[in-house]
Amino acid sequence: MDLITNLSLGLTEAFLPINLFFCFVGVLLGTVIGILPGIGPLATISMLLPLTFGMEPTTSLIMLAGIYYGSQYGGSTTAILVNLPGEAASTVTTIDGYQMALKGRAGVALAAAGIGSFVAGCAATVLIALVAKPLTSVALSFGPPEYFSLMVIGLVSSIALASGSLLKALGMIVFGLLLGLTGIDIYTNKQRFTFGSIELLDGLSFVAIAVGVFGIAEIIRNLQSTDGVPPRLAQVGRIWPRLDDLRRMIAPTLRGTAIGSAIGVLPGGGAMLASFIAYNVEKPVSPNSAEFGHGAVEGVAAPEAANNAAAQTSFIPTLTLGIPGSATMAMMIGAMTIQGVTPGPNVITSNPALFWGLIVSMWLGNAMLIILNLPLIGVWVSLLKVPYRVLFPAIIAFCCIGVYSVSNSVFGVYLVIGAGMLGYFLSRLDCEWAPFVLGFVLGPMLEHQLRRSMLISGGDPSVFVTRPISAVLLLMALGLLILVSLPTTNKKRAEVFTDEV
Amino acid sequence: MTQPLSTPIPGRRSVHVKDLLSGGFFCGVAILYGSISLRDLPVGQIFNMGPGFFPLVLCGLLMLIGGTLVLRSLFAQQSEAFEPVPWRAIALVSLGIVVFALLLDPLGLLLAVFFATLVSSFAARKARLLPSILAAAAIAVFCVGVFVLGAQMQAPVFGSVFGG
Repeated sequence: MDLITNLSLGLTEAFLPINLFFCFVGVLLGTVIGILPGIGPLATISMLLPLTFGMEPTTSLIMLAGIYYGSQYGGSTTAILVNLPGEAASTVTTIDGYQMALKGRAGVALAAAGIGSFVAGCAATVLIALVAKPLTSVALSFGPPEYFSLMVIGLVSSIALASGSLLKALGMIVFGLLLGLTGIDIYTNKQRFTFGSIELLDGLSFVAIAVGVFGIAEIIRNLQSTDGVPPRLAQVGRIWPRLDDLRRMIAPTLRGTAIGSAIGVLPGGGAMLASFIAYNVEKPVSPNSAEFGHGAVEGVAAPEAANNAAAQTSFIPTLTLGIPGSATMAMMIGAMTIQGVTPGPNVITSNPALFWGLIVSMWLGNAMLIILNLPLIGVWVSLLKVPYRVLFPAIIAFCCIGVYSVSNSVFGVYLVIGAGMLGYFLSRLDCEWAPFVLGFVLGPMLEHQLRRSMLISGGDPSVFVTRPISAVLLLMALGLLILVSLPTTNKKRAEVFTDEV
Repeated sequence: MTQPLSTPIPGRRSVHVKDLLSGGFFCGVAILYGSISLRDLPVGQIFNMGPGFFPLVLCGLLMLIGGTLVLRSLFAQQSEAFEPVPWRAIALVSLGIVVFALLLDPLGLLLAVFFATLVSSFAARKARLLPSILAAAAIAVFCVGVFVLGAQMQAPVFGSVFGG
């Protein structure tokens, strides 16, 4: 059977000692950095990206994927222990997780998060293996108009995830698209927006921008709010859940997995949205719904399962279509390009070892996470006690070295300063950067597909609505845009995002 | 919206500063990039777009978005509390990065990291000299160990001044 051959190819690749080792390193580093306050998966991946440059493409992607879900897991650890989400996707976990911690059940909450994530990871791995091949053949039938419409829907859904004003999120997308065009136009060889700089001929460095707007800007924000004082920690207590806890976790974990897997596949549907929906579905359905908000184990297991499932299934559009659904996936696409792998439907046929190896390694990485996190939780707790004023200079050093090693030139390092300042000030104006990053990565692709569409249709814009798949995609984008701009949904969104803080 | 909103002052119309500034920023970008496109980049025809076509469309869109934000801010019902800007953190973090970029070639990775972390550690108000020096030295050694010896990064540990 096809599935078995593919998975066994993946197993051989993932169990190569070098891949196994760097999967572990990635998961470990991801956890460590994810636990640090305010550094989410994006900043973590961009900081650690340079470590992977010298590796084989498969090994480097395995390590980056490990960093991604490692940092996501680290984020839930801080959510539970100090009531601070280490990253956006674990904001819901703070609600019941921290309540459990206050009742001396932080250990059980951590176990629920770990087990929920692992179950979700297993299911998502199988799902990817099942749908990747069929989806690739669908993708191969896509023409330029379909790709264009698909990217439009991805961009529109990133607005739905922005917490502030729609108009500002739209503005940040367009700003990102515009900056993404920097460099040489491949059709005419003409320089665009390079301001006469040779360094900009290849475009603005994605890594420098990500490090600036997510890493440096975040450091400045943290210095402002905490001035380097370490947070108060809850006691961990016993870790292994009682039989009763385990029984209560089963259904929420499975529901969370299903919701997360479905949302992760959608363009723009990220881990954060998945965890929100899973929590809000679980609350009324659960037999213990009165306990929600006061430390219900279901309220930890469901969103944690959902965000991990979504984190993994979001690789599906990235790997099969070459179109990132979230800012983090945009980062992965950037990493693939640096490694000389062109993301898209051809990866699975031209480089099956990479594709299946990566997928199996995700499952392996999830198993490692459990082993790493539950018995070693004491180590992570002591890491949380390190004062921020000791940590942040080290983070700055990593950022500088990371950006320098992308191009071996200091130009990118200066770019980080600019991006950091712009990142800080625009965030202060409630302009968010996730839509920007998506726009930045999609900018050149979007233009390319638009130009190709117009070339094949002879300049007839109706091609986008006369081709059925493209029409459906655009209609969905329009529907989504109307939905998020309706006053009632808008108010709901505002409530959800205020709750989380 | 997540920002704290202050109560509107009766009888006085206030300006929404955040909307005004972000709208102004978008307009500025649109004008800058739009004028570069118009000056340097051929627009082409719709069936054969030139390098200026897509940027110009984007600039128009950005202008529209920015303009709406500016207009909306002028008729806002409420203004918002504006936290102070942490100039010290901004200045010293930036300075630390500049120090790294300036010193890397002449002095090499070890000393560049040392001085960069030392300078930026003073972005926190409670920083003291001796602990900062010790921490910076430790970070510098750690970085050289991890990135040069571990990840085989192509950077001189000691720079041109030391003949590296």
